[in-house]
Amino acid sequence: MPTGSVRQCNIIENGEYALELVGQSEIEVEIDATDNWWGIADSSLIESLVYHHNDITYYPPVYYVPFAYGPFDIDDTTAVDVGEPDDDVLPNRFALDQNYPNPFNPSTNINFRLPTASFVDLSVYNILGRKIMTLAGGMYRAGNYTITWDGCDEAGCAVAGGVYFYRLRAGGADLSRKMLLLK
Amino acid sequence: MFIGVSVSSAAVEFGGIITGDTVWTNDDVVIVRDSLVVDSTGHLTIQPGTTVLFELMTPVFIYGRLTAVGNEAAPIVFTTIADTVGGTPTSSTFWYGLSFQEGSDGEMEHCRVAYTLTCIDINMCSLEFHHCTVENFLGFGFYIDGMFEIPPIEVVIDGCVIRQTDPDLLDDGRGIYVFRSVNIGISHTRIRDCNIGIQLYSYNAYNPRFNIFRTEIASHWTDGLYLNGSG
Repeated sequence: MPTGSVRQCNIIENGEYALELVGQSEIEVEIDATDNWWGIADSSLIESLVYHHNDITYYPPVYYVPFAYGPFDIDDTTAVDVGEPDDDVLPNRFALDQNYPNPFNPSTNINFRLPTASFVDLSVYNILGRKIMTLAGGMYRAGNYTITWDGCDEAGCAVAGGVYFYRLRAGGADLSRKMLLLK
Repeated sequence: MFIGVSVSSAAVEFGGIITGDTVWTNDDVVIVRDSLVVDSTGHLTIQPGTTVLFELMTPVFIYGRLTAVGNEAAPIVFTTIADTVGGTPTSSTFWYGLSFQEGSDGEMEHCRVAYTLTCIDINMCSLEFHHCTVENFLGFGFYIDGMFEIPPIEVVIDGCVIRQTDPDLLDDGRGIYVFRSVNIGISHTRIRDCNIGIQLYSYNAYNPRFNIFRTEIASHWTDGLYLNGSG
């Protein structure tokens, strides 16, 4: 499993989470609690933890690191086994996952999640920033979606190998990732 | 952030393939107008104080060796040709970035890499970066992919600054993105004002390690540190 440590760091003033742990497998992380400053752990951060906990229900089992008012130890890290993914449980924030497989040929899958019904634009761009394909457009209900891109442009022509970006715009969220098409 | 260089000063233009030993001196501004490849037999050395300017989306692919060791008084600058006196870098003037390919090697110290798609792209090779400033990128400051290497590749980022300073880029991009089989050490580094500061997307099978020490991860739009383990 991935293992690592975070020591004597300032992880501060980040918009959602100081630390987010997700995944389909365990991650072992040592956190030197007394020497890391995670920012002022106010109630909003504590609430973020709650959201985080809900979010990771899609990726069992998972360790998560609770925020706290004071320093915390690795012993506070809690193993959460929440069972199988449940499609009935709605995500609580917009998310765009890394495509898989990546690199890919001839096709790849892109997952995204909507916490609320939203107007969605999921598009692929080349390295010059030109849109070459719209993968999803229109109103979508809240939920989890997987879209497959077959490496073709709007005209149905296979695009050249190389780096491409995909971008999700939905409900005020604007998320993008990079992928590599091998030929 | 302008670098205070006028392109009307002496300039040497490059592009194409570098084989054997090549040295770029700090006597002139270097302008790269076309894709540049340091092939597997090539060794490009850039002297301290050298400024290298790139045309739109111009990439540097390194299959051989890059030595870019500046110093505090004379850093080496890699940036868009629009990042000059009188110029205004925009997303339409960005260059591609430095892309280290499998089997490549290099040293980068006291370098500034700016206004790119991805500033430093590392694919299946072990590298160290010391005291570098990586800023204003559309996608990633560092994109590090160890693919399926066993043991994992080793990457060290020490004493660096990774940030977005351009108002159009604040809260965008990933400071450091680590993918698959990579052991990474990040120390004495400041990462600020991206969308995500550090994102580790590691595959379980490779048992990769990460160590983050005395690093500031601050003011990112979503997460400071995002760790994702995958089967």
